[in-house]
Order: sequence, then structure tokens, then C-alpha cells
Amino acid sequence: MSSAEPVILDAHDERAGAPPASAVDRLVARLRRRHGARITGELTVPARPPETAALPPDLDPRLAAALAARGVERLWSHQREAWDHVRAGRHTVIATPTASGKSLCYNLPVLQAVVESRAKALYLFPTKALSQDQVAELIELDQAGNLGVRAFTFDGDTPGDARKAVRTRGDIVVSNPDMLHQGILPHHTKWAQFFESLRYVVIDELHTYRGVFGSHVANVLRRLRRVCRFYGVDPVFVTCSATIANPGELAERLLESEVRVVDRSGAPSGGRTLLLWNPPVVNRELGIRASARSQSTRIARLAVKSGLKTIVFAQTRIMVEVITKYLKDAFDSDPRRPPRVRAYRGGYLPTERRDTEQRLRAGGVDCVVATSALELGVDIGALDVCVLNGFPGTVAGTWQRLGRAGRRNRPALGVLVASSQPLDQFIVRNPDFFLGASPEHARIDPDQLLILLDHVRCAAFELPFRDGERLGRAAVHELLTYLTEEGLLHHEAGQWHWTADSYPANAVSLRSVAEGNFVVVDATDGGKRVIAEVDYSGAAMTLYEGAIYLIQARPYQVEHLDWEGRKAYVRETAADYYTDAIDYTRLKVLDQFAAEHRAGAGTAHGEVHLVRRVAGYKKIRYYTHENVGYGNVNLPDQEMHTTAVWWRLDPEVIETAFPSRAEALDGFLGAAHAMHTVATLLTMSEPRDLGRSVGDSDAAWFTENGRATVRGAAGETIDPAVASAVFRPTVYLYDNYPGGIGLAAPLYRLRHRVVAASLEMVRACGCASGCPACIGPILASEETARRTPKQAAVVVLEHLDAAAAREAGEAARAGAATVADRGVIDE
Amino acid sequence: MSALKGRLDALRRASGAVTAAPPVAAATTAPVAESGLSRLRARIGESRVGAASATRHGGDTAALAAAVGGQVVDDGLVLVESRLEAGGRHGRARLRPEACREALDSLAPGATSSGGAVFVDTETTGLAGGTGTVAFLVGLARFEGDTLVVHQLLIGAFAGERRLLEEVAALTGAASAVVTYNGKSFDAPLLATRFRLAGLSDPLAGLTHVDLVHPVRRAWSRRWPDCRLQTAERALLGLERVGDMPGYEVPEAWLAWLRHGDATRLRRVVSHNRLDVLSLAALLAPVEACLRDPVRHGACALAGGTGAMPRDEDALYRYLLDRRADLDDRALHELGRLARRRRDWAVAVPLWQALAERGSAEALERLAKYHEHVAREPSVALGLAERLAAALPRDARHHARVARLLRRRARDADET
Repeated sequence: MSSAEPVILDAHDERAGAPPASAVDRLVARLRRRHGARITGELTVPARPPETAALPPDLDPRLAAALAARGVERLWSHQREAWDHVRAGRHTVIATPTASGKSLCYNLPVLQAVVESRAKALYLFPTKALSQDQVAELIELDQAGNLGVRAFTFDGDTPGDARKAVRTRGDIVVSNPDMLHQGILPHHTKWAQFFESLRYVVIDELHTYRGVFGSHVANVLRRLRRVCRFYGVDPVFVTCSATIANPGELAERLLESEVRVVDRSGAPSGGRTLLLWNPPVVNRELGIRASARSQSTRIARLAVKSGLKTIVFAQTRIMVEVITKYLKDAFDSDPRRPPRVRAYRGGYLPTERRDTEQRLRAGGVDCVVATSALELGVDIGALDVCVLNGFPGTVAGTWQRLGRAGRRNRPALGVLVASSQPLDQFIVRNPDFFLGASPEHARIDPDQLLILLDHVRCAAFELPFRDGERLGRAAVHELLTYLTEEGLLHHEAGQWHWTADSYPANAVSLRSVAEGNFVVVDATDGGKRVIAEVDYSGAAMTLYEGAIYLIQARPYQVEHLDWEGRKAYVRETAADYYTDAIDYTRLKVLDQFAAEHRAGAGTAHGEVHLVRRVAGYKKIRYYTHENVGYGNVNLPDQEMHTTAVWWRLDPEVIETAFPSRAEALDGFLGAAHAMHTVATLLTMSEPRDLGRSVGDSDAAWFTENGRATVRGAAGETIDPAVASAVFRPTVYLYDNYPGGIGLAAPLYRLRHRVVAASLEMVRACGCASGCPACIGPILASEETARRTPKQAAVVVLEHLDAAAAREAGEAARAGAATVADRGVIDE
Repeated sequence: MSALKGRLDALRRASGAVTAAPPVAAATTAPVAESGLSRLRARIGESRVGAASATRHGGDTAALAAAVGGQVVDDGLVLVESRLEAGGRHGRARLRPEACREALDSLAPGATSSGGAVFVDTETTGLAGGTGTVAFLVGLARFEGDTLVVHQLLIGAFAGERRLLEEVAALTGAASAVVTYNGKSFDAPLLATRFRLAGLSDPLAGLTHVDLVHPVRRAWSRRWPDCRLQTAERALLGLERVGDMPGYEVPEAWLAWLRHGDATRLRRVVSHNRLDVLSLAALLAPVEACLRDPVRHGACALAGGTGAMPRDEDALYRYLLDRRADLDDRALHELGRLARRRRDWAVAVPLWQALAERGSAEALERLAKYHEHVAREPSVALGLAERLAAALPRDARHHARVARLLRRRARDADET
């Protein structure tokens, strides 16, 4: 969206001099008229005229012919801009909207290099499905121009006997980072021919490489470039990203080189309207709204009836099926006619998916209901209306899906229907998140110690390190020494040689920091079948003895947990309840990096020592959700050092603001819930990447996670009224990985924004006493409390915000560049 | 440094690593020696180290040569050379160069006249494969006249690897075939990787590769508990290794030298490798003979197919037919299948009957089909089908056959 200039309009603005109403405009008008109250925001993106550029003069005539065969006589300006950068050997990131022809930005220079000089290229996509689509497109271009270019996928599905052909004959090899990490780099000598001619590395969907995954991938790229140097090549990286706030910065961190940014799209687009839609409240007391599903189905029905091609995105496969059924009931009642509604999701056979894609391109389908499987890359032609059943988690992802609707010279409509999830509710109440520049910064921390150590191991296996050599920008001498002491390396004559009998890449997953996954073993009938694998971090919460572990809704009970052996033995059971762990997290501040204290409120960030303990569990009956029993859990504490941001109020402030400690605690718990939601969004992370905890700032007591039960230093439950002499409840948001993954420092810079947005969110929530969308679930009894948990949370946030507001005011007076710009500060 | 180590250990424990016990006692002396070593090496700089390296572990090539009974080839590289004359013993077998050459020509036609074979076996730092595994010992044997000469190249330091590879190339040079045991999947790709990393061309790449594990598996995988080289030696050569080093101890033995200058176990690695290489030469003739006539050698009758034994069906049919008295059930089934395709019922039917008597449902089914469709004896077929349905009650096809035959009997009864 960076190049578009969205304009916010009043929900009922009738534009003067607007062009004659199109079908989309008529639908928008109708939705406004009938459901105006559900539309919490409306934005329009004006139509954008095309900006073209001539084909490059040095373009191979066969390629020009291939383009002509597809009706391309000129390029969009950004495609030409990308060509010029790439041909000049400059690393490039292309960050233009969906459907602006990004893939041609890299395919063109790559194909040129292949036909010119049999150069090779490596394409990396985050998923296998995207790889296959890309190969299909390359084959199409190849055939159109009779180029003789060989493009192959290389991933876990590539049969063993085909792999050699891919390695030795492929001009373009399309793979994914996991395969590069585990299958290609540790065997690079088999790929020697390929590497010796490698000129381009293409990385699409760059914005997905953030957080832990991105930090790992940055190191895989360090290893790739190291291997390339061994073969005497220095390939040019061509990358594509969705429109996030910092594509150039992300690309430079991933590549550790200067990267040119191409973000002015020359592709035309029709005008676009986006409606933010909140389902109506059906129970005001509990803050319960009508389901997003019912709203999405209704909007899609109206759109299809208006003759508009429509796509509905749902978050889960099951939801795709449900919505498809409802729409088919409306439109496909006559079995003799070809279906007007189709579903598209992972798990379908490739042939079926290709068939749906083809029908969509040909215009034979009126409505498709899809998961994110259709979000990226796949060519389905252009549609008129895009309905999002639920917020996809990031603004960038939202725009990417909305980009599915919109053809040249025709207006398009997107509707984001909020679910009851806190993030959804926050987003539809804060339409300005969709305005102007993206608020989302993709961040990575390639030098995170554990991740770096993992990849130093892998790199040492691939080629011996020389003294003084770095891995990318990271100095690794100490890590090499550490690995030598561990018996994995041997230092000799200025080189560090791998000597262990292991294949380190197999032990390193790019998607986690954990080393010791647990396997779930089904011991039913004396068997030993492994039926699931659980991350180390999730094991204590899900695999304690007595836990009901669900697979495809089938219940298994954990009988024995072998913590050291990383195994849980389960047996199929017929329980009518599920279990919910009672856990709490104690944090102790080890080092404070920065802090501020104003108006009775303090914020700081630093390193913390964290102990997580699972104390027991509750048995909860299905459907009624009543608590039918407790069990004890005896597991070792899980400890880690990580980084955190924390907020607290001075004891005097709390004493005047709250009649009791219990009520203040309710307020802090509710505030923590809201702040966690907001912080997740602002740092573009998954909810599990950030942990939250409410406890004493001196670690004297802590609350159970999500509950107001207070536990003392030894884990005993205690009354908050007597928990400690001075009452200093603190909200901690911590980076949920050992060593941290670099979320805390940016979060500290966003501290005022986190509080202000949380306050806005809780205040604006339609519920009476608090609900899962704002401060988290509350008990029925709390609805009648003198001051509701919601009011308590508002009081806490107001006091935290007062300090923030004062700070912002002072800064503005001082004329400093500040957090006024939505609190976002670039590093 | 210790701060980083403490931090890393704590972080790794927090992430679920099952952390090893603190480094073993030996390591307390090793790092000291090593750091002294790196200072020394820094002083020596880029110049060839030569005799100056005598003070370092993993670099005292002369000491290593003495320990394993070899000679220094170059800094970091030791050669152990030995011979086995014609008629020399290896297990119960004796070296028969002529039989060896004939077998080679059968398995790799023309190999003897065009340069002969080199027998190769490597000892490595592990089985993981990929670029991080090193072949620290390569044993190669070649015939010089009727004498089998074994060259074992052992590196005492990574610095010796390049020279080792050059020596391997030189010793392989004239050969036109390479004989290994499981070398197609392990030794050859591993050496290819090492040559590639050293920037040298792979001398094995152009050779005919005779990997004995494949015929051995075809012939004996159903008769032996496993098809490891030592199992084959025991069965085919009568060789019982005494005090041999188990394979999993091999990497540690070399690392003990590399890290701590302890060569005590390397002598055993060298002799283990020598036996491996000699066995390759000794196994060539018995394995080839077995492919030619597997039944006579007590192997799986279907094992043929390399060299002497043609793979075509007619030849296999004749071979099995000639030896039908000695075949196991699996081979009998195959003979039955081939006979059926040739409509040679006189062979097939008695064979199926014998198999069915021994409880083979497959043979019973074949017989039932034969009597229903070929011999057209529905009552015999019905009896067989009923036996089959009783034996395999969950297979609907057999019940269908019974029902069909019953219907036909009823119909036939009506017509008469």
C-alpha cells in the first residue's frame, strides 16, 4: 500500500461527481443502507492509472516473443525498474501490491541470464505449493518462447531418483528454506555444478521471514553465501515482499548487504473500497456478537446475487467447508448445472486445486471459499469482491488477501469481518491501522545466540571455518571454541574441522529455538506407535500425567511422561472432559537496560529470569464447561533467561485508585490481556511469541496465568491482601524464547503506543463488564461486582497512559521527533 | 569465554537441550595443549610445517607411523603397506588370483584386460554422510602379478588429507573397476565429496563399480540375520575375526589420536580395515559363483542376474526347473508363476499342490483358479475354494468364488 494514497471517508459520505454507479458501488451503497451500524470504518483507495516502460533493449528476442505471446508489449514501470537494478547486479527487494506482476520482476532477468549464458538460479518460497505454481509459470513462459529452460522443484516430495537430474540439469531450482538448510547445503558438493553457475537467488514472500523463522533463514542465507564463495560465485538476490513498513530494512538484515527497494507500482488498479465490519452484538452483558461466519456468508451471498465474482477467505479448513456449504445451499441447488461455488484449501488433491484455479481464471466460478492456500502467488485471475472471515493476523496479510479482488478499470470491494478474537476486535475499532504506511515492522535477530550457535554448527559441517572468519557479520570465534569444547570441532592449522558423527542440520528446525521435541507414544494395546510430536515449550502445558491430549478430537490420556527421554505415553480413552493446565510464571529482573518513571507510573525493559511451573490441572466437561475435578502435576520448573518489558504503578497511586488489592489485581490482569493483544499486532508476532505475566515487581508473588489466583515465592496460593508489605503489581510482556528474539527493545520503544491503544480498545469494546475481546474472559459473578474488571482495567491503563500522555506532550513541546507518528520508531 | 559458555549452557537447557555432562576429564588437558599449539602454529605461519610439527597432537606423523607400523609419506600422512601372496590364507579361504580375475570379468566384463580392479574400503569419522564426514583411513588393494598389495593411507591430521587424496588417485589411476562393499551408497559418494572439497577430480568417477553388497543381499538377505561384511566373511570365507574393533568405536579411536595424541586404538583400526579390504578380494569369486548357480551355494535361487547368470525369464525358468528339488518356497512360487505364464500346467499344478499342503493360501488360490477356469472341474474348484474361504474368512473374494461355484453347480444340476 505504500504507493497508494488511501483516503478515509465518512461512513456515509456521498461523493459528488462520482462516476456512474457500478455493480460494486451499488453493493456498497446497499450494505451501508441496510447494515450501516455494522460498518466501523470505510476506506477507499483511488484507482491508479498504469505506468508503463518499454521492454529493455537488451531483452532476448525469444523472451520478448514469449511476452508477446502472453499479450505483454510493455512492462509496468516497477518491472522495468527491477530489471535495471538486477541486471546491474544490485540486490533488490520489490514491495508492490498483490497482483502487480511481481514474479515477472525476477523471472525476466533470470530467464535472460539462462538463455544468454546458461546461468543458474535458485528460487526460495516459504511453502511447497507456491514452488509448484512458480514452476508451472516458468514452464508456461518457457513454452511460449521456446526457450529451452529447465525449471524443477526440489523439496521433500522430490523422488530420490529425480534428485540427481535436478542437481545437474536444472537451470532454475525452486525450493524452500528448510530444504536448502537440511538437504542442499550439507550436501553442497553434490550441487557443485549448480553452485558454480549460480547467478541469482530469488526469495519471494520475504515478509514471512520474520521473528524466529526469519532469524533462522537469515543464517541459512549466511551459509548459502559462504558456500557460494567456496565455488567462486556471488549471486545477486532478488526478493519480493508484501507491503510491510520496512521491506528494505528487512531485506538488508536478511542479506547483510545493500538492497535497492522497488516499491512504486506501475500496475494499474481499479478503485477499491474496504469496509471494516463488526457483527452485531447479540448479548450486550457478555459482549457476545453474532458469528463472523454468518456475516461473511450474508455479504458473499449479496455479492454473488449482484453478479460480482467473489472470494471468501476463512482461517481454517473446517470454516472453508462450512461457508462453502451455506453458499452452495443458496446457489448450487440444481445439480445439473456446473457449480457456481467452489472451495479451495490445503488437503485437496493438486489436480482438484488446478481445476478450480483454471475455472476461476476462465470465469466459470462465481464464488470461491479459500484458506490462505490461495493467498499467495497462485494465479486465479481477478475478482470483484473479497470477504475476509476474520483478521488474518497482520495488516500486510490483510492487504495481500484483499489484493485478490480488483481488476483494472473496475472498482473492487473488500470486507474485513471481525471475529470475537481480541485482535479482530481491536482492528475493526482502529481503522487507522489500514491508513497510510503500514504499521508493521518485520524484525529478525540473526545473532540470537542459540540460533547463531545452531547455524555455526551447520556451517562448520559444510566447510571448515578459518581463523578470523565470520558467519555473515557475526564473529564466531567464541562459539567455535565452545563447540570444540563440546567435542564437535577440532582446531588445526588455523581451521576448525567438524569431527562429530552427526548431521547437525537435522537437529535444527528453522521454525523453533527448542532442541528437545517430545514424542507422544500411543501405548494402547501395548503398542509403541508415535502419534504426535510436541514442542519442548508446549510439553509441560499439554503432556503432564493425567492430561487429555486430543488428536483430531479423539481423546488420549497421558499415563506416563518421561521428561528426560522426551516421551509421553498415552492411551486412548473415552473421557467426557478435557484438561486445562494451571500454570504460573515467575519473573525476576536481572538487568534493567532502560527505564522511565513519570506521574506514578514506570516502564522499563531488560533481561529477566523466568520460571514457569505447571502446578496442576482442571478437568472441564464438554459443552457445559463445568469444572469436574483437579489433578496435581509434578514437573520440573522450566527456566529461561529472556528479555521483557514491564509496566507498573506506584503503590500510592494504586492505594488511591483502588479500594482493595484484589480489585487492583483484576485491573492489572485485564490490562495485561489487552496490552498483550496490542503488542502482538505492533510487533508483527504470533501471540505465542510474546508471553505475559502479572506479578510483583520484586518477584515476591505472581498470579496464575490468566487468573487472579496469587502464588507466593514457593508456589503456595496466598491472599493478595497479605502477599507482600508493599503492593507493586507489574505487567510483564516477555519474549517467549530463551535468550529473546529481539522483541523487547522495539516493544519498549512502542511502550506508550501499547498503553494508549490498549486503553482505546478496552474503552471502545461494546461489552459491559469485560469480555474475551478486550480484557479476557471473566466469571459470571464478576459482572455484578461493584467495579467491573473492565472498569478496573481501564483505571490501570488510564494511570499508565497519563504518564505516557505527559511524556508525549513534553516531547512535542521540545520539538523532538517522537512517538507522535503512531509510536513507531525505526531502529 | 567461560561466561559465554555458562550463558550458552543455560540457554540451551532452557530450550530443551538434553545437555551433556561437563566435558570429560581428558578435555581439561587438551585445550591447554591446543591453545599452545595454535600459538605455535601462528608463529610458524604459512610455511610448510615439516618436522617442526613433531610437538603437536595429531601432527606427530612419525609417532603415528610407528604406532601403526607404517611409514611417513608426508606431513600428516602415513602409509601401511602389506601383501598377500597367491595361495595365502584369509579365513578358511586361500587367495586365488585367477579365480578372482575370472569373477571380475564376469561381474565387470573386460575389466581385467583394461587395468584390473582396485578394492577400496574407508574408515570415517562417522556415518552421517554429507560434507562433514572425513575418510581418515583409505585402504586400497591391487594385484601386482599374483600378489595382492594393500595400501592403507592414514591421516594423522586434517593437513594430511589433500596428500591422502592425491595418493588415492595415484593408486587408483590404472584401474578400470572398483570393488567395494556398500561403496555405492557410502564410500564412493563420501570420497567424491572429499575430492570435490579439495578441488581435485574424483578418480573413482569413471570406473565400473562392483558393489558386492547388492548380490549378497539378493542371495542371502532371507537366510542370514543381516548382510554385513563380517556376516558374509563368516559364511563364505569361514573368517572369524578375533578382537576386531566394532565399527562404532572407529571414529573415537581416531579422535583420541587427533585430540590427545593417543594412537593405541588406531593399530586395531588399521588391521580392521586391512581385513575389510582383503575380504573384498576374497569374496569376489564366491559371490560371483553363487550368482551363477545360487541353488548350489545354498543361496536364494532368484539371486542370479549379474554377469554369468542371464536375467531373461526363459533362462531363469530353465534354471529353476533343473533344480526344482532344491528350491525353497519363494523360488517355487516364482517357478509356478513362470510355468503358469507358459501354460506349463504339468509343472505348475504339482508344485502348487505341494505348496498348498504346506499351508500356502496363494498356492491354494492358484489351484482353485486352475480347476475352475483351465481344467474346468467345478467340483474340485469348489472344494479348494471352500478351503480357501475357511482359511481366509475376511477375504470377500473367496466367498464370492464359493458362491459362484455353488450357483454353477445348481445350474448344471438343473440342466442335467
